[in-house]
Amino acid sequence: MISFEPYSLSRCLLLLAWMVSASAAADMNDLSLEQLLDFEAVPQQVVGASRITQRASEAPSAITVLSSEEIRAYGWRTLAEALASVRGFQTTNGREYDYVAVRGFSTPGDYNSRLLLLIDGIRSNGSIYDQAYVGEEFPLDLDLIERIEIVRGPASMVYGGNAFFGAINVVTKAGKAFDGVEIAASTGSYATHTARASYGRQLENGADLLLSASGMNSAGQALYFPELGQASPGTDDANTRRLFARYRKGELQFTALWGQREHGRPSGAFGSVFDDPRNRDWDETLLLDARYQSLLTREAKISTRLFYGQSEWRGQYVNDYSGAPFDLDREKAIGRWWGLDGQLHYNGFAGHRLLLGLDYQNNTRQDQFAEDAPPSLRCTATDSAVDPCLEDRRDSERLGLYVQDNLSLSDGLLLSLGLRHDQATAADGQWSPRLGLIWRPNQNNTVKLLYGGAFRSANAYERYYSYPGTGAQIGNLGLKAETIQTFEAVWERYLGADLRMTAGVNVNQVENWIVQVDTGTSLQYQNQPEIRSHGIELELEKSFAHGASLRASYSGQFTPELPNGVINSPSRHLLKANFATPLPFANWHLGLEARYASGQSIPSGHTSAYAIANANLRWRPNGGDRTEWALGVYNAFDKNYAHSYPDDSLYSGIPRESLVQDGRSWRLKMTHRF
Amino acid sequence: MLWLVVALVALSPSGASAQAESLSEDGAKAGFIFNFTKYTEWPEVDAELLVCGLGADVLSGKLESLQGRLVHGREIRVRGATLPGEWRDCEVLFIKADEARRVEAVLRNTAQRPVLTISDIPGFAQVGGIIGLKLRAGRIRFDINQGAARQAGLKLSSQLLKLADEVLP
Repeated sequence: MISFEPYSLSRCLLLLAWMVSASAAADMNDLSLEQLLDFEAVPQQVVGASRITQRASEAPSAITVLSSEEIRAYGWRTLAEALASVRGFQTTNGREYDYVAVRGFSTPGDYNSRLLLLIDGIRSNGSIYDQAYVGEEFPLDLDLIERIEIVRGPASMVYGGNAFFGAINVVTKAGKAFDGVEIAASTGSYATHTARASYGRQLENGADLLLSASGMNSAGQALYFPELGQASPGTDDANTRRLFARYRKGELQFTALWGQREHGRPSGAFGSVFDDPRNRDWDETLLLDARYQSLLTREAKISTRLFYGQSEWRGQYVNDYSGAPFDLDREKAIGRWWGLDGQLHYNGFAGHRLLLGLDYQNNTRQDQFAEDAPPSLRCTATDSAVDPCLEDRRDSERLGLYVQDNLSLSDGLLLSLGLRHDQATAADGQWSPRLGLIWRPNQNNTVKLLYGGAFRSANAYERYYSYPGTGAQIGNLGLKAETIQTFEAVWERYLGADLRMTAGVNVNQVENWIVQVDTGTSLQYQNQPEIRSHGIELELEKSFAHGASLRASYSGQFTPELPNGVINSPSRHLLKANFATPLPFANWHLGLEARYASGQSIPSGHTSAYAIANANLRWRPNGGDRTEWALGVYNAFDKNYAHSYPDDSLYSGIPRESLVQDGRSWRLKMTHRF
Repeated sequence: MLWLVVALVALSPSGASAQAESLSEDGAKAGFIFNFTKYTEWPEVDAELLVCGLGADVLSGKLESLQGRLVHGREIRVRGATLPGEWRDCEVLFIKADEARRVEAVLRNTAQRPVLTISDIPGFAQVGGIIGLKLRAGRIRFDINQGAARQAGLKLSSQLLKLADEVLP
């Protein structure tokens, strides 16, 4: 979303600014060198928190921004690896998908439906599982990212559903940043190879163009699952394909994004037969977006966005229900949608930044299919070659209306107010409020007091998916939307110009939490009673004169055990440190990451606490960023650790409580710009 | 929703400032340039101090705001300098970041001349410029190439060297 400054559109203030611009500059010249060194000349800015460009320190959220430089410094291979470095976040490799735990809640198997994942403001969550792809299945190449804005806490007031524990807005680079052709290639553990070619440029007519294609192939690793006593030596293979195109000219912008991943299913999830290469998933995302903004008057601006999305999943599992021949279960989920997003920005009242918005999405297809071959007679008995077990076709609409105002009450005191109403097919209407009081008594201190509410309606999968027989699952048409209310206080303080401290506390109240419950005969998604949790977060960021930077954090999140034996078990304590530094030899850089996590609770007790470390060594032969070689080593000490895993014993008959995470791996990557 | 809009309008605090954020990055850079001239001694001085900017619309006009200001009794004159012939007579030459491809030509043309070269091109001091501006954690920092200053016959005060991030010998 392209922004505009509050004062530049306000007529009287514009005139005033015009008249005093010379004297303002003169003021700057009167500052001493020491004062200038202390002055935050380029404040960190975000758009993801309020859909307007604002200083991160003035946004009504606790925010972390990861830059493209950090992505390179630490050699992150997936969005999940980037998020794992951030305070309060924990990620789990679920073997099929990656999962993010935040704010004391972790439900591996929820496909991250409680996080809203945006790419340049475009909603990327699918329309059947609400899934947010953060692993290899994320449809955008990490090399195209300019920054990742991590907005903690409820953000339904601006985005509607799914912005439950937070919103992540991935902002892509301008074509200008590439200024020509850039290629990248890498090789790494498990015979993993990647390649990318990008072309970006500011064209003669002033337009900005970015085109990129990339892919990944991996043979995968030989996995052993100690809980099941089963090995899966050859079914962890994966490949991805990603395309990105964007054209921006003046107020007009077109974006097209496509990503596809195919992956073997090594974990034997849902009781499928081990080490059979026919166990596979295919995930595909297509996002198209056209936006235009126009100035109505100096104080008013309208932005409109027309979007289309496609999210498809196909899965295939080999089941052994009755001995040979094995039964092949094929499943499919097809989501298609289009929508309109309109915003009216108005800055005509002095001190206000007013935003009125409308969000409309039409889910033209939310279809789920399952079939058995050969017919197992578990489903509708037919004489055809396949046995249709599920054929569920749906469509729905949702409409959100919201109003937001950021008003400066006095110098250094900001009030952020917002309210949104959402209505959707087969769901109750939802009100989502947000209130933020942001106090900046001086350059060095910011205090934020925040309150927000968010919701997530039951998705098509939770509501309609049904499957008979062994490992049966039944839909639940009576599911209510889950809601959260969060109170939060954040204090950011500069201790000198180079050291920033952030401290925060949060209290959350979740109602109607939706989880899969074993009813004894089948699985079903059901609402849970109220859950309360609270947490604290502490972070230190320091930048050093020779170019090094350090970010260290502690977060503690306290959520009680959930009823019905539902697993909810992120680590309570997370300690993290990220350190990037130039090395004494010219053109060499080192990025180091260390993380500690306390044990996760599982039905039989706890997993072990663990600490892991990653290192990324970079060499830029010519000094600049034209050519770069990077060698990353992940889990460098090969620590063996496990995260909790959703119990799928109803399918498999074997209880499994945790899943071993990746051991040591490496990647060598070369990037070159022509 | 209407009531909220009405309420907000009614709440509208009169005359709340739109923040004094016009103190921009460019303004701050101009401030740095002005301060650098205070800490620099030129071998020869006259009544005027010639500050040049390389590139169109240098620092969005903020460099011009130095025009007429006094430094150790000398009056600053700001001039655009696009041609190589003009560079050697400048006493301060600021090269803006998007003129990076001309760095080599600038350094060649100002070699052995008392020109304080300043730029926000990344690594400017490392390639032979005298003062390189850079951003660190949203704040402006600078590196100094003392050897380049010495060759230019300029004396930079020890106080300035102390405030620099990196001083190259």
